[in-house]
Amino acid sequence: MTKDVLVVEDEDSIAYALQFLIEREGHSFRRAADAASARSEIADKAPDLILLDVMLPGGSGYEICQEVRLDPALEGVKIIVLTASGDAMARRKSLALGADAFIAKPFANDELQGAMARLMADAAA
Amino acid sequence: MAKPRSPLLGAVFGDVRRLSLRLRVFLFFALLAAASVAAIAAAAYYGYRRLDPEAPASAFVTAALLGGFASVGLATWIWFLFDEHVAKPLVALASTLRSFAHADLRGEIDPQVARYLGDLAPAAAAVSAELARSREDLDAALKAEHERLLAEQERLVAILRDAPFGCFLCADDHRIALYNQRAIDHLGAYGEVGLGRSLLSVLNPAPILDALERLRRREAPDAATDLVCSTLDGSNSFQARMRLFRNPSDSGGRAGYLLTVRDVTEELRRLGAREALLRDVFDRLQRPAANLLSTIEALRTPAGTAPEARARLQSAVVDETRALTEAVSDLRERYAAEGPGWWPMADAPAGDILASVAARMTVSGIKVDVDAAPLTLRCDGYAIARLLGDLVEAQASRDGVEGLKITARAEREPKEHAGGEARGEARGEAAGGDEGDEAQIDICWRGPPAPIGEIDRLLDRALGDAYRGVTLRECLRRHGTDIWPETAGPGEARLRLPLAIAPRQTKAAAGPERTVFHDLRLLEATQRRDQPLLSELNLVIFDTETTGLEPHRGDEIVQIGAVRAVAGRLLSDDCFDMLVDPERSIPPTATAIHGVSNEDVAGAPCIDAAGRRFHQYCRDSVLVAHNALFDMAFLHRHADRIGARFDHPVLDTVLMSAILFGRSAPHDLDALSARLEVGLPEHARHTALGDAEATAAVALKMIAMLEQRGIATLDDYEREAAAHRAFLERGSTGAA
Repeated sequence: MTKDVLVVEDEDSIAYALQFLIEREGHSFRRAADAASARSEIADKAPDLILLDVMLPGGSGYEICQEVRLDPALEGVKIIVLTASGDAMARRKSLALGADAFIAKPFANDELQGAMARLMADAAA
Repeated sequence: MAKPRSPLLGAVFGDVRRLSLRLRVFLFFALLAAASVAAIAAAAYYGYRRLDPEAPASAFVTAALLGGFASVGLATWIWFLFDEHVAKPLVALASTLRSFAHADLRGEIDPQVARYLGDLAPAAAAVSAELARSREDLDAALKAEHERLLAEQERLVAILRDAPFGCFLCADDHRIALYNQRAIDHLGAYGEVGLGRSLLSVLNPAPILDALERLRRREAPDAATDLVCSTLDGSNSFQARMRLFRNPSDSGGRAGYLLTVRDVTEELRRLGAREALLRDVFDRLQRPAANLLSTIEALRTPAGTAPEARARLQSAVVDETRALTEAVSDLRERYAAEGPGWWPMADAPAGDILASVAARMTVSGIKVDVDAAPLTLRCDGYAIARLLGDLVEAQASRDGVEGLKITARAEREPKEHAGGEARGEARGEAAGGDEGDEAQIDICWRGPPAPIGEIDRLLDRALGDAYRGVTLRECLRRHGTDIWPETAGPGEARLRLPLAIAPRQTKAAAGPERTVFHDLRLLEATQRRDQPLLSELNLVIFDTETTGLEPHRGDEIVQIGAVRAVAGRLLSDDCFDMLVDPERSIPPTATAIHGVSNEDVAGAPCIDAAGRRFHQYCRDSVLVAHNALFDMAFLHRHADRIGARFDHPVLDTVLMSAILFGRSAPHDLDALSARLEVGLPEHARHTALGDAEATAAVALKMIAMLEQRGIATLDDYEREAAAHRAFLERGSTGAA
C-alpha cells in the first residue's frame, strides 16, 4: 500500500538517494529542505512517515519531532530521525522527544528500508 | 616471700638481720673459722682416741682425713649459702634493675629477693622508685609538649588528607615516612605501600634516583623538579614533582624528599587512543575516497559508458562507498567509546548542587523545591548548577508553569540498541528501587512541556567568564550528556539531564576514610654505620598457627598473622592476618588450641598464594618470631610452591630471652610477657595475629635491653645467639 513519506533533509544528494529508495518501494515522496518548509508540508497534509534530519536550516529536527508529537491531529505519523551524530545521548534524546526510530548517518540502505517497513507495518496494524 | 622459720631458728637467728652487713660478714667468717678449728680439733681428738702405739701414723691419717672431709663439707655448705643468698639475689636484682632502666618497666623491687644482703635491696628499691618518679615528671612534661606538637602536626596533615594528589614523604634511603590515602588509591594495587617501606619497591627507581640526584647537585634547600615515573611493572604512569625535604631537627645527614604524584595513565591512554583514531581516520577514509573519485571519473569517460565496464565501475562505486560507510561508523563508535574530552570533573553531592540552585532561585524570587537522593555526582558542580539555574529561570518565565521542583535520583542507564527502537523502548526508567548507574536530574513542573527550540537557544549561552567563551552546550558535551524535555504525565512536564555518578557511589562498599599515615621519626637520618641498630630495623613480627607441631610429618600452616615495627615503633594499622587452606584436615586437638576449624579455612588461599602475599609483606624486612625455627620450617618447606625463599634475617625472641635472662629462666611467651609486663588479652592468645602482637611487644622491649648490653646490631645478635641456639634446638623451651 502506498504511503506518503516526507523527507526533511537539506542535503540534495541524500534527499535524492532517499527519493530513489522510497519510490522504488512504491511510496510517494515529498521533500522539505528546511524547518519552515517542513512545518508547511506537514500542515498541508499529514504524512504517514517523516524521515527527519536533525541539523536543518532555520531550526532543528528535534523541534519538528516535538511539535508533531504534541499535535493530537498528527498522532499516527511515524518519525525516523536521521543524524550524523550517532552517540547514545542523541539516540536517547530523539526517542524521548517521540521519534519512533533513530538511524545514524551514514547508513546502509537495508537498515533504513528495514526500519521503514517495520513502522509501516505497525501503522497498518 | 620469706620462708617460715622454726621457733628455735628464730630465737637463734631472729635478730641477726638487725646487725650491719659488715658485722654479719665478720661474724659469718668468724663462725667459719671457729667451725674449721672445731672440726679439726674434733678430728684430732678422734684420732687421739684411736691411737695405736704400735702404729701411731694411722691415727694421724684418720684425723687428717676427717678434718679434710669436714673442711670440704663446710666449704660446700658455704658455697651453697653464698649462691642462694648472694650470687642468685645479685643476678636477679641486676636483671630487675636493667629491666627498669632499659625496658621502661616501673614495678617494685621485692626486698625479700636479697634479704641477706643488708640494705642492698631497699636501696635498689629506693633508686628504682626515684627513677620512676623522675620518669613520670619527665613524661608529664614531654606529654604536654608532645600534645602541642601533635595538634600542630595534625593541622598540617589535615591539609594533605584531602589533597587531590598522592603524596609521599620519604627519608634519604627512600623509606616512606608519610603518605596519604590518594597515594594508596594510585599505588596500592601495585605493591605494599606502607610506613618504613621503600618507595622504590613500588615505583620504578630510575626516574626517582635521577631526579633526586639532580636536586642534590643543585644544593638549594627548596629545590624542586618535575618528573614522570611509573609503577615497577610499567602499567601506570604518574606526573610527579619532587622537592628536597630536610628534617629540621637533623642538622647532619642527607635530605629526604617530598614526592607528589598524579596518575596520568588514563590521560596518556586517551591521548594515545585519540591519536590512533586520528591516524585511522586518514588511513581508512583516504583510500576509499580516492578510489571513489577515480571510479567516478572513469565512469564519465567514453570507455566507462560501455555496458560491461559501466557495470564493473558501478560495482566498484558500491564497494568503495560501503567501505567508506563502514569505516565512518566504526570510527564514530570508537570516538564515542572514548567518552567526552577533558573537563575538570570532581565528586559533588547532588544535594549540594540542587541546594545551590535553590539558593540562587530564592535570590531571583523563584520558588523551587529540591529533592535529592544521597548521590555523589561526577561533574563540574558549578557549571551544572549554573546550567540548572538558567533552565529553571527559563521555565519559571513561561506562562502556565507552576510547582517547579528539581529532583536527583539514580537510575539504570538504558541499554544500547543496534538501531530502529520502538518509541518508549529506551526511556531510561529504572527497573525499580534507587539502585542505578546513572543519575537523572529532572526539572519538573505542572504545565506545558518546554519547547526544545527554546532549550537549544538557551544552551548557546556562555557558561561564565571563568570558562572563556565555553557555552552551556559545550559543557554538556564535555560531560558526555544532553538535556531534553519529556512529558512526565497528564499536565506535567520535565527536563531531563542524565549525569554520571561518582565511581564510589556505584559500589556497595564505601571507600576508606580519607586519612594520612605518618611517622615523621622515620625521617631522622640513621647514622652511617656498617650495620643499622637493631632498633632501626624494619621488623615483621609474625606467628603461624598449624595443624600440629611436626612440619616434616605433614603438618601445615592454617593461619599467618604478622605486624610491622619500624624504627622501634609498632605500626598499629599495618598488620597481616590470613587464613590458609592446609589442604588436609585440621585435627580437633589443634582447633581446640587456635580455634581455626576446617570450615574456617574452606575457600581460603593455599600456602602458595598465601605465602606469596606474606613474602611480599615481608619485603625488605627482618623477620621476628617466638621460637622462629618452628615457624620458619613451615615456610622453608614450601619455598618452591610459593616461588620465593624466606631468606630474610631472623630474630628469635626465645634466643633474645636466653641472652638477657639466662638459659634457666622460662622462655615461653606467657612467661616473657609477664616478666616484661606486656598485657596479653586472653582472647587474643593462640591466634596468629594475637601472638604476633604479643611477640612484637616483648621483642621491642628486649631489643632495647640488648642494645644496652652492647648487642646492638644483627651481627652482635648472631654472635650471642649462636651460643644459645644449640640449647634451643635441643627443644628445651616451651615455645610455639
